[in-house]
Amino acid sequence: MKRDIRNLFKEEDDLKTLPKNHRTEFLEKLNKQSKQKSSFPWLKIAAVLLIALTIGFSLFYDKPEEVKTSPIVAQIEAFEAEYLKDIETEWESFIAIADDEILVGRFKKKLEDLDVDYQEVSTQFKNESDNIITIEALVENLQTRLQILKDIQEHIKILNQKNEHYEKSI
Amino acid sequence: MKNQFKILLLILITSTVAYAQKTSEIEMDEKHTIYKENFTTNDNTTLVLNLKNTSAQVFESPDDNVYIEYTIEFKNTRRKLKERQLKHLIVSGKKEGNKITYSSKTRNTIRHSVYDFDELLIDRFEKKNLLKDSLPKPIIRKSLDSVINEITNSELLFRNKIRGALKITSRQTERWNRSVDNLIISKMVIKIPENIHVRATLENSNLVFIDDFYNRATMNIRNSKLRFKVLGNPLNIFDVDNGYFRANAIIGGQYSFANTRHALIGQLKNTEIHSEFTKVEIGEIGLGNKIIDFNSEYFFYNWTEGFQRFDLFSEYSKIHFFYPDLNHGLEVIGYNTRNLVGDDGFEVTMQPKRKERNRLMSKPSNPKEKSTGLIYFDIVNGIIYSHNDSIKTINKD
Repeated sequence: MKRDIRNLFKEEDDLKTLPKNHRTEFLEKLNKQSKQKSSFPWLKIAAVLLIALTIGFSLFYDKPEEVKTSPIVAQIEAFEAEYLKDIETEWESFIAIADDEILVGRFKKKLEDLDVDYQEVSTQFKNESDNIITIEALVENLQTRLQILKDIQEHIKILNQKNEHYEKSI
Repeated sequence: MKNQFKILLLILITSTVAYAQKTSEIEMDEKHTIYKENFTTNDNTTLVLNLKNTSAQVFESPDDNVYIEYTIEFKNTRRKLKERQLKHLIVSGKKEGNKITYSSKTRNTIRHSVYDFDELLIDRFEKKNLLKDSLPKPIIRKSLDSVINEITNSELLFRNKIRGALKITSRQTERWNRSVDNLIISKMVIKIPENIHVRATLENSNLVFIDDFYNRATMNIRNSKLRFKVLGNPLNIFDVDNGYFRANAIIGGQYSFANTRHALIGQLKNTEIHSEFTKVEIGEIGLGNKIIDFNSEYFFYNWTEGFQRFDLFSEYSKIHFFYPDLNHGLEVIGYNTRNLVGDDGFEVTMQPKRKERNRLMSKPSNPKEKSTGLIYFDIVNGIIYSHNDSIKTINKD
């Protein structure tokens, strides 16, 4: 079954010989077509207008859809960013004034636990962003973290104030 | 963008209110019974409740059966919204020997869930003064009645706080209150006979116990809101993590509060509490209580006649202490603790930073009168706020 494939190309060439007047025929056909098109210029304009309008409308009506879903997420994200920044700042100032390693360790663990909770609720929020309970849970989690850090610093400040009065019994 | 978010959130927050205000006027147009079953019990029966994202009312059963009914009603609700709400409900119940298990779970809480917990919610919007942004309030002694009233209105106060945090105005709230479209009422009622043991695992749930609850209960509660009248079993074990806890009275049992936003207790008797990072207010302290705490804030408002002894062991705690009106003794031991007396902040440093426990305060009861009890504080790194109205009581001696 061995065969020289070069022969195949030769055979192909023989089959596809163009007729002598093929150029003239092609030019004639081309002229005919261009005349037909030019007879309906308004169709072109209408088509362009239609496309433009379709794109315009779809863009116009798509916008409110985006607004419907994204503001909650955007608002929570902004809230989260603001709070996380504040929490970080409060943490830094807390460890700067706390001289009790056990206390710092307990707060660190507490904040880590709260962060784990937050991630869990955050995943729920991504699935269904208009759930009021989830939104409340996110807000409360961040508020709790910030509040406990502020409270303990206030507590330490009171404990560290210079002794003004000294009494052993009342 | 912000306004649109607020408006949407407002609808979500106030849908409860909208319905509650107009409960008697609105006829719902569709009702679905999700689950309805009753189970026979005996004294050895245990009811296991696994609830997630669920709101329920709990009653005492009129007989020996456990009754569970869960319905959802709709009013002018969009079809897709209805379908979505119903699709994500997973509810099951079964009885195996002496164990009844009921589980209810939604993928998420129903958004417009409306729950008519009690009559007081109905006129909640008439209480416009409560809708104003809350200002820091001076700490004053609360009466037991006032604490119980706060417990009853707790949901309203909670919503108000969230509104405050998001700066939603009462005007906006009222505007949305007029609408009754897309109303969804989720109503789960559980009736439990007395004498059976209840084991509950609750997550992101909201439970209101309408009647006094004397059943033995073992509950593991996370991110939930619970409201009880009387919790009266000495074998109770409650583990509350995050969330809110309210009880008109706790009589006996062991309660653990970790990071609970607010534990509000009317009367406390024969109870042991372990707590951390929690705010606890107690209206009236009775006989035989003990508290072990780390970094919580406690409010001890009133003391019963004959509380006999009260023990507190704490570290880094804030104690708002209102002295008993009757003759009593007080012992404080510990170190590095301050006593701030009255609103003018007069300070008594009770011990330098030396880490050795010493007697910090001692006020024996008047031997000429009958003593109502001894308050014993073991406080390390703590702050005791003794409020003004108690000074008169101290000086009385």
